[in-house]
Formats: sequence, structure tokens, C-alpha cells
Amino acid sequence: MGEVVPILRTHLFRGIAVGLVVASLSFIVVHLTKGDTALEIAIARYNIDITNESLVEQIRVEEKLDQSLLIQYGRWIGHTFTFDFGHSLVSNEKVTNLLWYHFRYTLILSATAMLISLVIALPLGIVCGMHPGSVLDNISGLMSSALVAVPHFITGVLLILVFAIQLQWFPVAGFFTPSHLLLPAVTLGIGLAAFSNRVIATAIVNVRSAAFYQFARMKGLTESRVLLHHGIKNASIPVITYIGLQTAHLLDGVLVVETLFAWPGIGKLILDSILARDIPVIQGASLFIGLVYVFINATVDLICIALDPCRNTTETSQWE
Amino acid sequence: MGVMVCIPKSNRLQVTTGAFILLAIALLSLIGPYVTPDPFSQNLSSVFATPSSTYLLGSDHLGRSVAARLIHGGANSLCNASLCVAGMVFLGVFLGLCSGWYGGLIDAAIMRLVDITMSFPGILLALLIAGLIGGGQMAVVGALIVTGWPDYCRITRAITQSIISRPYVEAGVLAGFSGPFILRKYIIIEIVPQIAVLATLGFGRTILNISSLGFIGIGLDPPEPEWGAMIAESLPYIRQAPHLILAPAAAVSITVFSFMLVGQPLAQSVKK
Repeated sequence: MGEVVPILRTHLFRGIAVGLVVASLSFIVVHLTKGDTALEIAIARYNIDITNESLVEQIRVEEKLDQSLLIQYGRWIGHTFTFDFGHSLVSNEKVTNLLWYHFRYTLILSATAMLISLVIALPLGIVCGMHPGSVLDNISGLMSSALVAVPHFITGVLLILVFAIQLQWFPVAGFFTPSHLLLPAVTLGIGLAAFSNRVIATAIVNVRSAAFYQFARMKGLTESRVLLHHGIKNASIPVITYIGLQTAHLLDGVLVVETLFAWPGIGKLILDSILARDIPVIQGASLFIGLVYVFINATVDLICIALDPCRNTTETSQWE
Repeated sequence: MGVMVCIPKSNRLQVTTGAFILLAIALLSLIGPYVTPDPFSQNLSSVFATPSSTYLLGSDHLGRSVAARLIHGGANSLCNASLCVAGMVFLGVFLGLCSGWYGGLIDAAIMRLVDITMSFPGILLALLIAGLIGGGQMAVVGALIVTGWPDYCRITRAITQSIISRPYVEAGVLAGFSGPFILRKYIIIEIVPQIAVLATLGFGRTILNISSLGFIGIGLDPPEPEWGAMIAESLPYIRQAPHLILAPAAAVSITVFSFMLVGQPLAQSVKK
């Protein structure tokens, strides 16, 4: 168990770092860029026609934009670490409420995408791993490297062209029915599967060449029994480690795919608020995504220790 | 240089193919902008033209030549990606050398910086920086450099640390060689091939990231052509004119794929 503490420490540090970076970045932007933030808020919240000086001054006092920078920075950091982002400058909705609302959609989308990627990658990876060098293995290798070169938004646009416009099986965009979910989820799922089926195949190849596996085969157990009882668990360690990377990939894709399909998740929330310069929402949403990422990586590290207690170094603690 | 990178025979075709495509793209981007029509000139009487001799790849919703915009966009992307990769390599190698050479507190501080940068998934940090600055070429390039250097830093640091402890370096120190001399003759020549491979793959990824940022509206200022932005602009007309989307989509994918064709076998050969 000696490994657990340094891992937790590393990830705790990362979580704090994410908070500091997000808070500082948004603070710098609010206070050091040209333009009057109070004026921008006034225009965003009301209307450019009815915005006047007294309204701007009123917002300046309301949002406490008239105090010294250092005090504001301290308050800013404090608010960030207590997850108190205040209200959206645009909709005046509480940021935490907005986050929960949009997070549900991202969660549904990500989970479906993960599921789709597993449905594709798991059987494909295992079969390719059992028959390395076969035609199927070569084809899937080629397909995977080609797909890695295609950004998510292009996969998505191509899927829209074929399935929504030519065949008209699915709606182009929106979020009302399960059929709206399928195209964005497939877009993300294909991208994930392109990576993960190779990882799974390699893991199976490695496990099959291990001494314990060969020994089990020599005892006379059938290939499928050995794979089931000795292979899968050992092969799953690199695959699970890879989930950390997959999450990065997924969160990356979510930003773009949600915009493309007008899916109201956290990614779209961040983009919309960046374009509207809605700082509290940008801050809340990016901190949220950063923390989810750190949390998943920490969980993955801990699962890997549980699965393989005899490994002596971990990926994250190598810099300790 | 004394460091040979040997590509296995089976991969040579792949690397040559990739290199040829990249050469073609580079030439198109270098020469193309001088021979193609103006990518900004609009002709509202011939919008959504199908490919013809005047409009090689048709025209977009404002009657601008797609071929011209594609080539200008490619030139922009390659130029920006070069700036990004150069910046990442410079920053990463410099900090990695400092980290591996001095060790101790400097090493710890730089590694924390790496850790912080890598705590953000994918392009989120780049998106935040570029988006908050307000987009534009320099914002995108700067943001991608800030988020992309850790890979180069980590590998430089690892190589530096492993070489510094070797007997021949100690012998060099005892023989009175200066620090810069040892850095140059013992360490940097070992780093060059690894960084070159990483940069090849990184180049492809940077082009992909630039186009993704362009697509979501955080890129070059319009009407400056950019592949990702071209796709976003044409999205409302996907029914009438899908070729407006297919052309830039193919351009991004082929370019990134060629970098991978060249980079992946090289990566395997330097790992051994």
C-alpha cells in the first residue's frame, strides 16, 4: 500500500494546480485585457441600447470590480477553491446549476461513446491479438492509423453527410430524443476505438507470449480457457492504464463534437461562454473538466495498483 | 552527426510515400499562393459553383475560389504549425536540459510546471488561453506552444539524466571539458534524433489542433482562410454544397496522415 500515498499526493497537487491555473488565467484576462469588463457585462446582460454609464457603475460595484487587484485576486482564488463562481454574466443563472445541467448531457454522451468504442474495440482487439499478422489485424491497423489522423469534427461532419443528409436515418443536430445521441456518440466512439483496439490487441499479444500463459497451454488447457482465466486480467492492466489517456481524448472530443452537433454539454457551455466572454462560467466549467480529468486519472492509477500489486513504479509517480 | 536512424525495409515505402505527399503539400503551400486567384475576392453571382476551369474546386457561399482558399489555408496552417513546433521544441529542450543538467530544485520546479501543464486534458488549456486572449494567429500559436512543450521537455530530461551518469561523460569532465562542450558533443547529439521524431509526429498533431480550434471559431481572424474554419463556414450549406466541406476535410486528414506515415516508423526505429 506504500504506493497509494504518493499517487494521491501527485493527483491532489494536480487538482490544486488546475484550480490555480484556471483561476489565474481568468483573473488575468478579466483585469489585464483592454476593455471595460463592467461595460461588457452590462452589454451582455441587458442590451447595448439601454446600457448607460450609471448602469455600468452599478455593475462595477455589484461585481466588486472597483477594488484593488491584489484583494480581488485573493478573493478570486478563494472563490475558486470553494467552487463559488457566482452567476453567469449572460443568463444570470448560478454557475454551479449550469454546470450540473450541462454535465448530465456530457456524461450521457461520454458514456454512450465509451460503450460504442468498447463494442467495436473489444472483440476486434481480442481477435486481432489472437491472430497477429492476419489480414484482419493488418486492416484494422491501417484503419486505426488513418482514423487517428482524422479530427473528430471531420468524422462527425462525414457521418452527418452520410447518415443524416443522404440516408436521413438520424437528425442532424439537437438533443431531444435518443436518436439525436447516436451520431455524436458514434463520432466520439469511433475515435476512441481507433486507439483502443490497437492497445487491446497489443496487450493480448504480450500476454500470450508470457511464460505463465505458455505454461497453462502446456498443461493442456484450451486456448479459450487460458485466455479467460489467465489472459484477460493480465491483459487488462495496460488497457485500463490507457483509459486515463482515453479520457483526455474523450474530453478533447467532447469540446468539438458537442459544438458540431449542438449537444448541450459542458464542452458547448465552455465554448459558448468563451465566445461571450462569460468569465464565471468559463472558470467553473474548465475547472470542472480539469478536476474530472484528474479524478479519473487518480482512479485509474489506484485500480492499476489493485490489479497488479507487484509492479514497483507507477507512471505518475516517476517524477517524485 | 554519428547518430544513424535505420528504418526497417518494410517501412521504407510508407516513409517515402508520406514524405512525397508532404513535399507536394509543402510545395503547393509555398508556390500556390502566388499563382492561385485571390482567396478573398468574392463573386456573388457565382456562389456554390461546381468544379470547373475557373473554379478548380468550385466556389463557396460568397463565390470565393475554394481551391485558392484551400491553398492559402494550407500555407497558413503549415506556417503556424512550424512556429508552434519550433516554439515547443525550443522551450521543451531548453527546460529539459536545465532540468536534467542541474537537477535538484531547478529540476523539481520544472517538473512541477510539466505536471501542471499536463493536468489539463487535450486542447482545453490551449482553448482557454487562445479563447480568453480573443483568438488570432499569435494567440493560437502561443497557446499551442504553452500546452505542447512538456513532451519535449520530458524526453530531453530523461536522455540528459541517463547520459550524464555514464563513465565517458565523467571522463570528459575529468579531462577538463567545459560544460557547453559536453552539452554539445555528448548530450545534444543524442537528443536530436529523438526530438526530430517527436517533432514530426507533433507537427501532424499541431495541424490537427489548429484546425480543431479553427473549427470551433478560435483561430485566425476571418476572412483569413483556414481549413477548420472553412468547414465551419460551409456547415450551413452542407445540403447544397457538400464539396465545400469535403475539400478542406480531405486536406486536413491527408496532411496529418502523411506526418504519421513518416513519423511512426521513425519513432519505432529510434526506440530500439
